[in-house]
Parts: sequence; structure tokens; C-alpha cells
Amino acid sequence: MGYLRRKALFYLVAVWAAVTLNFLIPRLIKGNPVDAVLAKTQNMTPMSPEARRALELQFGVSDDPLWQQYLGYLGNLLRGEFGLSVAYYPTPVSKVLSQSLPWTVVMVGIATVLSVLLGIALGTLAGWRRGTWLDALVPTTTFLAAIPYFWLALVLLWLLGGVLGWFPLNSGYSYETTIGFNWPFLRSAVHHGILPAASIVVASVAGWLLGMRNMMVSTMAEDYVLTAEAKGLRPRRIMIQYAARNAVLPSVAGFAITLGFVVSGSIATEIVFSYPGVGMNLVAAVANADYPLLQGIFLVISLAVLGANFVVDLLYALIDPRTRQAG
Amino acid sequence: MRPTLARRLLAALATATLVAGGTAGCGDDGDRSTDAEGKIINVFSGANAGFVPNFNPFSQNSVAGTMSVLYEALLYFNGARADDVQPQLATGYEFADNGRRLNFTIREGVKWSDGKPFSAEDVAFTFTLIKDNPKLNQNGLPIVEAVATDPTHVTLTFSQGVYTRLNLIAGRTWIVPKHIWSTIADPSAYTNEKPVGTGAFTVASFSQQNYVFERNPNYWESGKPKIRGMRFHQFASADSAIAALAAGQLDWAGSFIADIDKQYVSKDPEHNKYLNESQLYLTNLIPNLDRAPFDSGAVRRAISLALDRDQIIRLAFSGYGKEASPAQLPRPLWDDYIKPEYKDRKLEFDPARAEQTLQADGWAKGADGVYAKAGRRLSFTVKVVQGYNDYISALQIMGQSLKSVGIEMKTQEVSFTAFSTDQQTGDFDVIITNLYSEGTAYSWYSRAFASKTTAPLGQQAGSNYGRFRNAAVDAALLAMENTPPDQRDAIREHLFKIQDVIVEELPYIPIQQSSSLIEYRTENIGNFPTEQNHYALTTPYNGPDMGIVAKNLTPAG
Amino acid sequence: MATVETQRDVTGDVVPGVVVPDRRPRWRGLLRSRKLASGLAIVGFFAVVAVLGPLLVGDPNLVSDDRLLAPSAEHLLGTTTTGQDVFRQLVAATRGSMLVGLVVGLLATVVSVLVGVLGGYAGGHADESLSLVSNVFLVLPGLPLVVLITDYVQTRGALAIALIVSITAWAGSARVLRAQTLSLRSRDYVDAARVSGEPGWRIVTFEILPNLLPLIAAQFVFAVVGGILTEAALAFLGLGGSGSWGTMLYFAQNSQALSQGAWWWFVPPGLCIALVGAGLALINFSLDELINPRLRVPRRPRRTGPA
Repeated sequence: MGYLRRKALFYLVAVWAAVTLNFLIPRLIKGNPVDAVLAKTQNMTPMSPEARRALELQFGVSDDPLWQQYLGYLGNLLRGEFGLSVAYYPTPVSKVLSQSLPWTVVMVGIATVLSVLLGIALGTLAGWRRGTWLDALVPTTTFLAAIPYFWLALVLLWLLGGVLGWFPLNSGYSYETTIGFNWPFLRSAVHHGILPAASIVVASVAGWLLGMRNMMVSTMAEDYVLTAEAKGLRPRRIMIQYAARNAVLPSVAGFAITLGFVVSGSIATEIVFSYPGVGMNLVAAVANADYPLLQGIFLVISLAVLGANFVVDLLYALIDPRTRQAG
Repeated sequence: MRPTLARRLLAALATATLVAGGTAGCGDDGDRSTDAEGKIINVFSGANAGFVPNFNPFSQNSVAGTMSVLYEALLYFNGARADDVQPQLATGYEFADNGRRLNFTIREGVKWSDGKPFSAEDVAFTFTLIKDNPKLNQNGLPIVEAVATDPTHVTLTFSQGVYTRLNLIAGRTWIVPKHIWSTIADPSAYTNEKPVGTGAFTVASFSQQNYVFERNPNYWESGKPKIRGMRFHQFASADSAIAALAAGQLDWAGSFIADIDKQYVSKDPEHNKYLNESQLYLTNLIPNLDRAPFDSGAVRRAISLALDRDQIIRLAFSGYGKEASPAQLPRPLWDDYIKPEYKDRKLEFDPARAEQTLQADGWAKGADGVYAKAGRRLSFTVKVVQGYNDYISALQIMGQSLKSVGIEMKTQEVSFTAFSTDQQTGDFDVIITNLYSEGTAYSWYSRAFASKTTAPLGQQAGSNYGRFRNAAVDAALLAMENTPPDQRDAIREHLFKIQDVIVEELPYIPIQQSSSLIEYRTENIGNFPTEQNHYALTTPYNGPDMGIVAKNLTPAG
Repeated sequence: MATVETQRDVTGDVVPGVVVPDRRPRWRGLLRSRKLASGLAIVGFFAVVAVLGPLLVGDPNLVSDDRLLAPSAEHLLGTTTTGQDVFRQLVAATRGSMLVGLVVGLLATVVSVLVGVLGGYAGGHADESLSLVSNVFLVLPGLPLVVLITDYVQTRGALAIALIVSITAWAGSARVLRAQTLSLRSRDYVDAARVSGEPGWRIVTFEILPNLLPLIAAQFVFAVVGGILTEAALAFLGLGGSGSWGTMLYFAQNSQALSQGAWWWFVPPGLCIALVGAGLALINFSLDELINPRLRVPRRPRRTGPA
């Protein structure tokens, strides 16, 4: 129980920190979003100087004391209200996000799972069979890991989408299909998702691979592995059931860090592929000085990452009894 | 066993690739929706993020087509031809009471898209709605009263003369149905997902990635529209929009394309056409006239003389920009309103004279090669919005030109928010930005040069960010506000007075007439406006022109 | 990246199975490492280019009418749409990127040493709160936070960007260093020093820090890579402006280099980022092997299966 309580407390603090940072950053730094909104809308559709007042009314800038704004902000969050988006005014931020979030969650989710499985499998092999050609995996994936996600996405798009024409150049599905659980849509969505997901997998697999390989190497010097070898067990059984099973634990624990990286990486990747996810919202928010949307995105991503990690921590306690006792 | 596992992993990877390749072969992306009834044409209006349903014509963020395609205004003011005004929901208008009253004759036989009849009541309701909801009044109209005197006549009363705002009142106010909007509690926060308008098209479907308009069978203008519908797309990056255009997947787009002949026209020279609409924006270096040394006309003239605008346009603006007129009006659109002697006047490029101009003003070149006067070096910083790469490139070129005549120019990239705040409060030496108007020659000058649209440093200026103030200009603008729009000769005289001042004083430094590239493909559509038959501005953006183009397009072939 | 940090969970608990070195680091072994040699060679090359390059190649912003030319003898890496020489820009951007990486690395390392080592050594409430702060920063998604801050900050100099990136770059290192400090603190020789009356600062400076050096170095290298990558992503999103490889990619992307087939414009900056990253990672491997000797052992003789 100690372990669980400590974890729960930690995540509560983390959530509070994310929420409060989100509140404070815009208020600590100078800059009036209304000015930006005005300038932006005027650039697209010219309007009279008198329009300024009208828009100011629309975006309501508050002069309340900070603590009052903070309480109001917390109250709104509890009700699930992130305010109205500026770029999509008068649409609420929550609605904008509810459109884009599923795309990102599915693509990042699948890419992360693939990346984890592939990384752990390859890492196990690389650690197990050191001194063979598999050693080449280490420098290769290191190189891949150092590539910016979005650049890899650009090059993949150029080669596979543009030059070879194997994949669609943009968007999340073909507009001839209707969103829903129907075969043409799902096929189209998968087809559109392969390239973005692949670029994320390629760029993020190295972390898992290297971590796993290093843990395999360490684990293989443990007495129980030596004992198993001495008993003459089949090498594959030793690799999987003795070494890998123990070596994988830290990789699971490292999920937090990797997930953060993958989410960050997917933002720029979505831009390259015009993928209709949260990353696209983020760029639209930046371009339109849409602060409510920007803050909503930050908060949703933070909460998603925190939630995923909390789940992993709970699972971890199940997998490894020692954690529970350690607390 | 171990090699087997490794090999199996690799085999799995290879299979995944094959499956992917196989799926791609089926190609589910080409769209040539055709049937007996006509074509759905594919439009790209520049949207770079997912669509969010918003068909509120009072909202600046409504999706493209809401204004003028779904909802209509009383009159159409052609954005591509001066003085070309076409009846829409109104068939006529007259001013009364020194411009404080406007009487409109309303078209008969118009139906809302839900089948209910349209009448003068709806027009009066729309203007009353705007009057009662300041949030909707984005054009700042001084409405006092809007009354439907009978089913075909409306009288609008204003608290001041509105001679110069006719195009805002009649051309950019979108008429909404009373029977729907009278029940909406907060019309400014209404997203209007099931729009009912008088326009030539209605909404057929909407998703985050595209939405479709189909023709309104009850449209009042007989025989129009001729195309079956329009599908609006979004592309996150210019590259993907260009790819779609080059692949023939779009019929009408407003997308910047570098080297357009190679990237677009050459893919299908017979059908791939484009227009370079350059009436919308004038790119200027705007100096802060309340700050030294820009209060000196000699300094501004020297900077202007040192700039090689041909080179700037060629390199930084991909060769699409057009030469700017010192009269600060886009040509040839406003040629009739530019004083003959200024019409063909050019902004010269003469580095030697730039230096002479400075020397005559008392500047002397210092040891560092930069001019100085009274201990002050001729050095300034231009603020530019981070990421505006054409401006940033242009500034790099200008910096090199200015350096060679002994003027030091630095560039500071700032966030969009900071730029907006700084330009309004006057916290800058020089900014690079576009001038634009609400569609009249008057508004080109009142926005940029009227002292009532500026403010002291530190306070927010409405649109005259350079802090230009001139009594003669103010007087001419005021006189225009009291001149009915049909007295064109009188208006012309007032404009010429303003031009005398700004050509002489050169308050801002024009760089180019900014271009908007509009691509259209004649494979699926006909009767698209051309330079010769410019019956409407062709920008596929939310505004008064798009609906006019849309209802006049014909299916090709 | 492979560092020992994956061996601890997010709240900083040492997860069973962590390898803790029993001896002081063996620096001499490092010199024989081929990985280190190649890593140092790559990074050293880019460092030299960053320092000297801009002095040698001339003005990267100089425009000309030689627009979008493919690589040739005159323009080694071709030109941009404004006729600027890509090679010159690449050299100039090397300085920008390396500078941001270096500043981020230094700042993150200093902060993480202060937070991790001091917290770990002091223990008690100070340690708990510091460790809580770093763990919170670790789970918050970095790039969105940096984007949020950058969008509000007005100036876009290299230094400002480096400062912002550092805000999210120190937490992981602080956690790793804290865990290692905790382990070192209970060693016999530290106990001995304490018993013999050495003051705390002396123990930290002379007993603990030297043992942490390879770990700190590894964290520094890690932070430099992170700094370069984050800056590139920011610049690519249009929030950079520090004249880096990311800025080049942003300009290439916005000038439609991709659809015009100007690979010479967008391929080199990405490759440079990857190369520097790989070079730094190679250095990190060697440091990892130093910290964790088991990784260094070559293929063990008892494993004699067919290849």
C-alpha cells in the first residue's frame, strides 16, 4: 500500500504542477493575445479600426486579481472547460481537441507499442548475441535516434510518397470514405498512418533497443543465468525466460521518459504529414496566437503522459513484488 | 534457434512493408467525382489545420465560403475592378440626410435554403441584431435604426454620415434569416452548424478534413450555379497542397507556389492556369515617425533610394510581387484614382544619390563606414514576425544594400504577439508589414495615414502604426467622408491632395505590391475570371468575392 | 539514449537490477575505446567547424541570382531560393546549433549537479522536495512545455532559446545523479571521511564528485544532444530563429525545397544533426561502459553457438 499511496501522491503533485504552470506562464509573460488576434484576423479579412472594440469584448481580457483568476481557472478545469479557442472562436477548446486527440492517441499509441516491442526484441537479441553482426544494430540505431523525427519524416515523405508514390502525401484518411467502423475508412486510415507511424518507430526504437541491450548484458552476468546455463537449458529459454524477463523491468519503468519523447516527436511529424492530430492543432494555435488552445493542448498532453505512467507504475507493482515491499 | 528468431523478426518487417506497398497500389486518393448532374470541384482556401464547424457569418473564424457563398450581402463590390458594383439581395440603394440614411430596395422572389421566403424584414432584423450586439459589429457601423417599411424596402439610419462605408454596410454585412437568428441567445458565440442562407450553395457534408457545398436548387439567380458543388480541403503544408494541385486533385486554390511554371503549370500546360492577384496588399517598411532619425525625410528618402526593389522581388518574393507605386495604391486597380503625374512614377534605385541625400542633410560617414550626425550613428532595427521567411529574406537583401551606402540595418525576429503589441504601441524603429484596405481608395489612406487612426507612443494605434500626422491629409479624408460615393470627380480631387503629400514626404517606404497566387484548372471548370474578364477577385478566401466566382463557374467540357 | 537512467523508475526509486560500480572509474580503459575515438573525432570536427568555419567561408546571408542551383564546384552544396550558398549556411548554422547544445548542456548539468548531488547528499526534506520537483519536470512533456513558454517569450536569440530548452533538460540528469549520490554516500570511504571530521563540502567536492564525473559527463553529453534536437524541433515549428540547422530546415520547408526537389537544402542540416548526435552518443557509450564495466566486456568466450 505504501508504494501505491506514494505513487498516487506523486502524480497528484505532478498534475497540480502541470495545471499551475499552465496557468502561470501566460500571466507571467508580457503580451496581449487580443492584439495578436486582431492583427491576424485583419490580415485575412480587412476590417475597420472600430472593430477592435468588438473583438476585445469577444475575447474578454480579465483584470481580476490573480488568485481570483486562478480559482476560476481551477473551477473551469474541474468542469472540463478549457475556454474558447481563439483560432476557432466561438468553438470551445475541448471540442477542437476532441476532434484531433483520437488521431494522435491512435497513431502515437500504435507507434509506441511497435517501437517498444521491436526495441525490446532487437535489444534482447543484440544483448544476447554480442559479437555477431547484431552489434551493428547499436551504431545504426544510435544514428537513427539522433535524427530529428520531423526530418526523417520529411525524407521518408519525399522518397516514399513523392518519388516512389507508394504512400499518400498528406492527411489521415481518404475523404472519399466516411469516418466510422467501416472497412474502406479503416483501410484508408491505416494506409495514411503507416508512414507517420514508421518515422516515429524508426526514430524512437533506439532508446528501447539500447536500454534493453545494456540490461541484457548486465543480467546475463547474474548468478541465476549462469546457473541456468550450467544446467544445460536451451539457450532460447535462458534468453527469454531468465535474462530478458528480468532485463525488461527497467525498460518498463523507463516508459515515462520515452513516452514524453515520442509525444514531442509526433508533434513535428504530424506537421510534415498534415496528420489531423494534436500536433497540427499546436501549430495552428502558435500561428494564430490561440493561447487557450495552446494551454489546452499542453494540459491534455501532460495529463495523458501522467496517466499512462501511473498505469505503468500500477502494472509494475503487479509484475515485480519487490517494489511493493520496498516502499 | 536464435538465428531463426532474428530472421523471423526481419521477415515480419519485410511483410509489413509489402502489405503497405500493396495497399498503396489500390490508390484511393484520386477524386474526380463526376456524374450526370455535374461536378463537385475541389477547392483549397489555404486552411492548414483541421476544420471546425463554424458557419456563423459574423465570426471572423467561420470556414471559407460562409461569407458570400452561403450567406449573401445586399450588393457586390468587385474587389478586382474599381467602381464595379453589382446588385445582390438589394436591387438598388439611395443615400438621404447627408449620408446618415440609406434606403435599399430588396429583391423579390428570394427564398432561404429551408424554403421560407426572404424579405426586407430579414434585412432589417440583421442590422438590428448587429446594433444590439456590439460583439457582432466588427465593421463598427454606427447603426441607429433599421426598419423594413414594406416587404421590399429597408431604411437604415446612422448616427453619422456613412458615404465612405457603403461597401461595409452593403457589401460585407451578411444577411441572416430572422426566423432562425431571433431565437439565438448569444449570436456571437453561435457556431451555426446547420446554416440556412440565401446563397447559391448549401452545406452537404462536413468533416474535420473537408466539407462539401452543393448547389441550392432554389437559388434566386436563374440558371446559376452551374457546377454541382464544391469540396473544401485543408493541407498542413504548402508542399502537400502543391502535390495535390500538380496531381490534378484540386480545381481552385490560393496557394503560394515557388517557381510556379515548373512546379504546377508544366504538369499539365493545357489546363493548369493561374492568376497573380496583387490588389490586396502593399508591403512597406514602416518607420516610426515619432522616433529619430525617421522624423527626417532625408533619411527615409535615402533608405528608399538604396533599395533595389527588382532584386528584392526577384529573390525574396519569388518574382511574383509587382512594383509599388509611391502613391500607395495598388495598380492597375486604382489607376483612375491616382494623379496622372504619379501614375507611372517609380521608386528609384540610386545608391549614389542615397549618399548625397544623407550628406546634404548633414550626415557624415564615420570611420566604421556608417553615416553619423551629431554623434548618432545611422543604425536601426527592423522588427519582423518570427518565421515570415519571405520578409526575413527581403530584410537580408535590404541590409546588404543599405550597408553599401553607409546605413546599418539590423533585423529582430519577434513572436507574432509581441509584433502586434509593438506595432500598436509604437515600440519599434521600423517594421516590415503589409498595408491593406477595406476595398475603397479612401480606406487605403484612412487606415494608413489618418491621424485619428494613430495614437501617441505607448498607446494603441488602430491601424496607422507609423504615427503619420498631416493636417492636409486629415482635411482631405474628412471631405471625402462628406462626399457621396457617386461624385467620383470630387473624390478624385481629395485623393490627389493626399497623394501630393505622401509622394512628397514618403512617410513609409513601399517595397512591393504583394502577390496572391490563385491556381485554377480548366479541366473541370470554365468561366473562371481572367485578367481580361476580371468579374470578381479570385481569392478563395472567406469574403465577398468567392461566392460570385462560385456561382458563375461552369463545368468544363 | 542509453544511460543508466532507464534503470530507475519515475519517482527516483532505484529499481532492482541496477548495476552499481564497485570500483572507482578506470579512465585509462577509455583511451583504448574505438567508440570514444570516433565519437570524439566527429564531435571535435563539428566543434572546430563551429569555431573557425564561419571565419573561413564568408557571409552566409549573401544573396545572388544563382537561385536554387544543385551542388557544383562553385557551390559545394548548391544554393537556396534566394541564391544563398547552402554550404556557407550550413557552416554558420553549425555554430548556432552547437552553441545552443553547449549552453543547454552546461546549464542543465550545473542545475542537475546542484539539485541531484546536493539533494542526494543532504538527504531529508531538502532532498525529498528537490527530488519531487525534478521528477515532476521529468514527466511533463518537454516539447509542448517549451513551445508554450517560447510562444510567450518575445525575443528569439540563441541564448533565450537555450535558456528555455534548459528548463526541461536538467531533470533526468538530476535524478540519475541523486540516485548515484545516495549510493556513494553510504560507501565506507565516505563514512570514513565523515567520521574523521571532514566538512560536508569537502566530502562532496573531493570524495563524491570525482566518482560521479563519468556519470556527469554522460549526462552532459545527453543534455547537449537533447538541446540540439529540441532547438531543431522548435525552429522547425517556426519558434526558433537562432540561426541553426533547425532554422535552415524551417526555411527549406517554407520555401518548398521538398516539392522543388532541392534535396541539397534539406538533407545536409538533418544529416549534421544526426551525425553530431551519433558522435555524442558514441562518447556516451564509452562513458556508460566506464560506469558499467560489464557492458565493456567483449563477447564472452563461453557463448560459442554458431553465428
